[in-house]
Amino acid sequence: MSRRKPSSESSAKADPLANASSSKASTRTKNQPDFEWSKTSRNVASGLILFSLVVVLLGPLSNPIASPHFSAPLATAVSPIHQGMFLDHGYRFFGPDPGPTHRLLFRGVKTDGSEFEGHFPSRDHNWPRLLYHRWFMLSETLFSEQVFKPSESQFKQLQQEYDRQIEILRTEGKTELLEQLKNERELETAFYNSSSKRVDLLVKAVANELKHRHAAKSIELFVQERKIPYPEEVSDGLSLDDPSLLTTAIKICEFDEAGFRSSPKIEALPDHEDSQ
Amino acid sequence: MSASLENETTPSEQTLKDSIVDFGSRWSQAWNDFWFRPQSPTTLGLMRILVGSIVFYTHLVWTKELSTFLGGGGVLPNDYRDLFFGNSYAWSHLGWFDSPAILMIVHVIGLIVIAIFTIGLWTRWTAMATALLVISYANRATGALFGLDQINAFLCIYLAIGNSGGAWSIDQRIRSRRSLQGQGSDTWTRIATRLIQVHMCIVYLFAAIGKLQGDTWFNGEAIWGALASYEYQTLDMTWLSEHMWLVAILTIGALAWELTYAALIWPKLTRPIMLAIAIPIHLGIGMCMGMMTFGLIMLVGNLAFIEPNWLSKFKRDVS
Repeated sequence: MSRRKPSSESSAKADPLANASSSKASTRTKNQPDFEWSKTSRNVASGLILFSLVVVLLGPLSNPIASPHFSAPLATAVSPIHQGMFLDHGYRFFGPDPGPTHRLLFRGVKTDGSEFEGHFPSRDHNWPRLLYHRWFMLSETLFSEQVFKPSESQFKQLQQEYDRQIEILRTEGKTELLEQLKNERELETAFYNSSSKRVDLLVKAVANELKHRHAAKSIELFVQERKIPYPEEVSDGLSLDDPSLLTTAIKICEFDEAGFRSSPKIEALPDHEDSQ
Repeated sequence: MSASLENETTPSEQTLKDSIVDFGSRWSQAWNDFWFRPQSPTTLGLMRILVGSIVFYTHLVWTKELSTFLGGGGVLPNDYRDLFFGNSYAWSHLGWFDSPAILMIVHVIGLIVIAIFTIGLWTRWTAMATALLVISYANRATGALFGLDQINAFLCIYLAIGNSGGAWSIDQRIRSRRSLQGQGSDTWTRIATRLIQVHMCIVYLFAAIGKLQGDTWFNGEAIWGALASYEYQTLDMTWLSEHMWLVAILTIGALAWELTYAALIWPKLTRPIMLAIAIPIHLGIGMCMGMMTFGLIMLVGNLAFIEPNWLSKFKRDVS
């Protein structure tokens, strides 16, 4: 930015938002410049600042929910900046409500034939606390990926419906709508394949790591939810790690000599009354 | 005659025109003062040390399980990240290295760069390198991230924009030793500080908006939900189950604070109050929920609202 020559631009109307340095502007000598930058430089910088603020605002305006007519297309337009600078966040910390937590359980058979089991995050094994939190976030990701994994049965039903509609449109000779529907079906298929592959990649990588760590020949992974107890229950003596707060563990994959097999999408979470 | 009458403005029209011009001029002046009045780097320099320390620790902790989390054969495969984003904008240099040994060497070099930034040596370059490193690690570790990584990243970006090495730094000491004039106020520091301040307001505002969609922030039980979560718990606060009135006050108080932060942090009258409340809130999250790094980085972000001249006076008094 080019520096402005000393001028006498008034600072008497300093904005109350400005820092103390600006509130002392009145004490400056007349020879002291108010701004280092020329008016042109400031105008250019103002445009860049406004743009950067829009980019920052579009993060929470498009995460986790976006308007398909406003914030979503704008966020898509700036996604190279969002992702390139890691700015695409919603900042909804502990919102809308602090919810239940999730952990990953594993059990398997080692190459020597002995059995093993464990879970993460684990206060005993994951240290320091920040590393524990990384494992914790990984277990949360595994759970949410598994829950939001596209359902194979729903996908097949949807494909059948697409085929039926396409056949009708073909018979009626509505070529424009026919092409539109074909494109939609392709997008759905691409999304389903990509999402399924993504979840399987993550689960398989975790299973592989645990299998390797425990020198195992076979391993099974499960996700499990822990409910938050009511204050009255805690007052009555229930501890936060009481097994009654855990839901039934849901198997998400198995990995053995026959290879990796992922479980179908979690359609419904078991209630904690059913817990072991 | 009629043409001259048409060109004449009535006194009320002239007053309106003057008012609009005056309004525009005042806003222009306020905007320029807000964003472009040169600012001392004292606050940004202190923030560099604190952000750098937290960022260094954040990345140091990865060392223990570097290949597990950031290696190609670990729990977060590169292909997962590629499918998650569906494009190549979420870049990361860590994906280039398959060998665990080379990955460790690159990681140690990164830690050295962050350490050099923290002490304020070659700060212009190390600040940019640190910002890029933080973004790169965050983009690589998709699936194991939380709020800490988000705040770390944007603070480092802004510290690279401003003259964060202009105070409390080796760079500044070298300049003083060479009898060079110390770096005074500058515009980039002002812009960086303002960007941090505005970004902090956006973070708190949307954190509050997210909470407004929940029931427990209104019935006063949300803080209980956070404190009674076994996976988060580090300090036993279950005694609060006998004092739910206190939980309700804390819950609604925290929500009100977040909701009003973006407005009340600016006036000089309310700013100290808002900053004072930030301390127990963030230290509370840190101590009770095992997220001390997150609690601390949020407090460091709040430091952007501390006047440089106040810090300079504090520094003089101490020395």
